[in-house]
Amino acid sequence: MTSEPEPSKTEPGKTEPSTREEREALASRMTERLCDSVEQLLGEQYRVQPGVRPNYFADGLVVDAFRVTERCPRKLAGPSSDYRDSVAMSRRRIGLLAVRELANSAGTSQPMLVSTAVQQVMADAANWPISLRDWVDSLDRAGQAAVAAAAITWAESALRLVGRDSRVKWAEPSQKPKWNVPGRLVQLSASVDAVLGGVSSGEKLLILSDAVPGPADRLRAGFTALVRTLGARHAPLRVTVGSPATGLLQPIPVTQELLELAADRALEMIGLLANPDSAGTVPGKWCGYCHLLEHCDAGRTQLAAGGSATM
Amino acid sequence: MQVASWLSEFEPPVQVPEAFIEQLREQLEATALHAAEIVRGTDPEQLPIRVPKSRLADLDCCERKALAVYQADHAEQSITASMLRGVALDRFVTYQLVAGRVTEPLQTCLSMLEAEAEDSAIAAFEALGPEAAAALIDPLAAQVADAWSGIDPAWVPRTQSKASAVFADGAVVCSGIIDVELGGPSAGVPAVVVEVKSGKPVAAHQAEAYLYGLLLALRDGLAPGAVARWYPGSELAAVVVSEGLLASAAARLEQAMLRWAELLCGRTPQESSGPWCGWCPDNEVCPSSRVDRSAPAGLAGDLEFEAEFDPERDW
Repeated sequence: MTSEPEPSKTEPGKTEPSTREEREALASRMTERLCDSVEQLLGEQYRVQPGVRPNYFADGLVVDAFRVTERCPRKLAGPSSDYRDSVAMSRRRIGLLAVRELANSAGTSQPMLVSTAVQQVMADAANWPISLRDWVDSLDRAGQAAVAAAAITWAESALRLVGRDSRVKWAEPSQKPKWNVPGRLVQLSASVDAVLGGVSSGEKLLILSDAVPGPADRLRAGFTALVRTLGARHAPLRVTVGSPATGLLQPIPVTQELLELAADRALEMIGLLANPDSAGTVPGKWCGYCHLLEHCDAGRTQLAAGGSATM
Repeated sequence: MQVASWLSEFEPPVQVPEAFIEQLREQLEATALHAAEIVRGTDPEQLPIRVPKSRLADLDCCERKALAVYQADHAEQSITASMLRGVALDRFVTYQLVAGRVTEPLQTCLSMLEAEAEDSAIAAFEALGPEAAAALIDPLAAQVADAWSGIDPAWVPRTQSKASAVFADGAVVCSGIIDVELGGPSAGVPAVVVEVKSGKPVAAHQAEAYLYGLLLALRDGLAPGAVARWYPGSELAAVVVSEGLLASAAARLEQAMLRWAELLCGRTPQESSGPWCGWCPDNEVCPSSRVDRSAPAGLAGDLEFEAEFDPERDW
């Protein structure tokens, strides 16, 4: 996978802002654009009631990065599949805690092994997200071994890709970039694995993907950049999509054009989530894994016509 | 010989030059572009072309079987007893590496599957019944303990580690999940790949291990030192990774890319009968099928051609 072509220096919006002021100005423009567009899109729907603490999950709309590349509007807008804690859903979070532990121990005479870091993290779950701690606590020794093994593999593959670099700030898994649309019960939520640099020099975000690199990475990176831009009030310099399985790192510069692309998608998602009955279907190979298949004629027709369940 | 002893005596071979790996990558890229072009010109909806290890193995056996397996409804695929042995063996090796000896095999396996949300495998064990399930997998736990104990943590064992290669801007994908990966750049020693196999040794397993050697070389830009297979009760069957090994794996992958592209575009698959016919979804309609329908059920002896239980088959 190659990095993006060098953008033309003369086309506004296609180059990443080079100064802190420009990154803040870009954030300001994007905030204004999103707020105006949400106002037009939702009208009186999903307004925060004065004096009532907003509960985005129960009463509002949460637009998260997991859904941003969903191809079928009906699946995107439909009821989510029942979330279930599992090894696959926890390995990243425990792996992140382990690489943070490794970073904290850096400089000691003997570099800590990833397996040791995972063991230490799993032995002291006091600061974990509560739901994760409760789930791991509920497992017996064998279940916890499955979690530990997967976390070791995740952490080792992340470090293999990124390297042990003290400048890399690995994310605290419970602290996700978020932005609440002012006055609305609408929240944008993303997920970042590591950050390099700071506000003054410009942030470089890293997201690690289990999927093989593909065209969807640009949208995923753009959405992550958008949420960070809106929440932190400054645009990051770039988002790098890392694929430990392939060893590829794809740096994607954060430009106004990228943020506009992500904003368009975010608004489309907000519209679909606010009015799920308006969501049409886009059948495809993905139907084989859709939790709504039982109730979707188009999906069943697609599969009956020979659309394979493999993706 | 225990894996730990083998590792302690492992002499890293002469490193395959990075330039050679890059040359293979370019060669694969050129073939992938050609394969993608075939599909793009006929049925672009079929992109990306996915050639995981299971598809390569199927293509090596019979093109019709490869296509039939691809088109079969995975939801209806039953999990057989031999698949469950493989499922348990993977879990026991993982457990041994992380938590030590397995003392309660069935419960350990079920608990790990529960944590992994592998409901279909749990249901298959339950359908088998506790006594039959225990009889099936209990012996494996002791064999795993004999072979996999005492590994130096400095080898940083990783289980179910992913290695994939993407070509032609994502139009061709070859993905694999390595049972056990040891060493590697971060450990300061050449990586060693071990495929854990519950069936009997066959040539396809060797080809699979070579493919993983290639995927690791492409992923890390550094070839592993060795690729190995481990069968319960047997010694580690290890092969040093050389330029020749990587080149043969690359040639097999290239051939599979092109054949699969053509098949996706409607070429009539060639039929090659063999012991694998027993596990082919088309075996009741294929004129070349070699299934002996008069044989008593359950006595088919070629379990190595059965698909592995692989919920992430084409991730």
